[in-house]
Amino acid sequence: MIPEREPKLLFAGPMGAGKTTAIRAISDLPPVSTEAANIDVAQHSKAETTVGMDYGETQLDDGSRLRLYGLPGQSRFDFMWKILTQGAMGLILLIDNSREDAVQQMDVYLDAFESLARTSSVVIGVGRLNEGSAQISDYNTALEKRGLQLPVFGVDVRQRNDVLLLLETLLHQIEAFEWVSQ
Amino acid sequence: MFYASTTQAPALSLACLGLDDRVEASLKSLLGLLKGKMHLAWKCVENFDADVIVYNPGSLLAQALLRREEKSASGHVFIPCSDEDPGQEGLCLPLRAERLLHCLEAAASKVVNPSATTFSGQANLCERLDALLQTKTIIAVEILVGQSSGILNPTRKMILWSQAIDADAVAQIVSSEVSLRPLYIADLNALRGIEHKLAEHLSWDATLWAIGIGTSRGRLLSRLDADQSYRLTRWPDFGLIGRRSSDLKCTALLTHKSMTPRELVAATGFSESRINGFLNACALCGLLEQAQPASSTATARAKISSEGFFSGGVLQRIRRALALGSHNA
Repeated sequence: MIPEREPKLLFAGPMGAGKTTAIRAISDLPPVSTEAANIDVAQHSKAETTVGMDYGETQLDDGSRLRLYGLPGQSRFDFMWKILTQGAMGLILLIDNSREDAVQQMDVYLDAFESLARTSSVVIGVGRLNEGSAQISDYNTALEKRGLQLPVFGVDVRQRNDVLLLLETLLHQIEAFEWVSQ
Repeated sequence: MFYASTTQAPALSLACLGLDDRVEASLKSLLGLLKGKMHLAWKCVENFDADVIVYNPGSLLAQALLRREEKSASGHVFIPCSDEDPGQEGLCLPLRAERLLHCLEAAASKVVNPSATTFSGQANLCERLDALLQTKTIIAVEILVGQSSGILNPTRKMILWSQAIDADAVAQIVSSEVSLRPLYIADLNALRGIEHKLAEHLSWDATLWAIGIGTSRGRLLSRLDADQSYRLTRWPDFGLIGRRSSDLKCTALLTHKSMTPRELVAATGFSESRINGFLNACALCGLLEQAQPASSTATARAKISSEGFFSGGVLQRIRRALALGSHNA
């Protein structure tokens, strides 16, 4: 059983957005993945994909761990999203801008994780920004329509610093929300 | 030995670039201890026009500014500071007072042209550019920096430049040797001609942010008021701007609650100078809007604290584990 005080961080996004790569960038251990041959080539052409979830962790200085969960990208596994969302401190949402429906994909995930979005516990990283037609402003406009003001950054999750940017921003968001809610 | 001349000559300015917060604090503390023991007085500033810049050799912006200095020889002195001993011309961590004194005395002798410290009576680049961008009759601003040039088009939030975007280009822009030429509606054909020659797109947010942070000289833009509440309309793209912990913290606060500059200083514990630079950058990028004062007492409280989350400061533990919170350049 996970101790209540051990924080849990989620990584979500469509197939190929870089969730496993992002977890690998900050996990102390090689992430435990449940990779399988990708039979859903209509969504993404990569050979393998995460069908269960990824798991990694970062040791904290009080002996506890920051638990990192990568949620499966295929929508048929979305029943797991609600299970893993319970007790999560926040969500890093990764979007693949090379997809034609990239902005709509963000909406799908924000619908699913609305409770986290409403408490400012979501940051959005947009990968392959130059490979798609959508701009960061398009994502901001979509957020504005939902009445949300979340951080959206163009990132390359192969760069550890970009993953740290997302995580550090999430921590500031959580802190600010808690501060103004007191 | 103590020198009486420190009260007669203007103070030399010193800025830190890319250093860990703790190193920066240690340097400032040592500088205080050395007060009166050097030929000239020193003051810490937070812009890159300082007489002397103490920099982390791993900082890309520092490397770019250094290369620019090598080309232009504008009189700024750069002092490397790292874990590995960079030699007598640099500072080795942990900092020692004797080495710092030696380096600063050597740097002071190299500052042959103190004009950088006499600029305070004039508008800085941030103020000049902001004034032009706020003038409704201006359709674009041409920027001339040495052999290169660019166009800022505020309507399309677009910056076209004559060469590819890199840290060098930004470093040139944030230098004080920039000429600005406003273009009016009558210059529309000229603007099209200029834009046709410029091929490289620079990020609007990243470029203006660099100008706001780098050239504000700690002064709030004249159109901003220290007692007026402001809020941010959206997050800028820090993926392009770069990770600067203080900017992330301030942005998170101002997207959640409207605050005056003074309240933001109190909430974050950052210096007024740093907050002013941040707000100027937001204003230049068009992200800042006036707001009604917050009704709750939250902004009147003391500094924001991470100790409340999960009743045990878990945010701080995560920050320590991943060395977050020390990126300031």
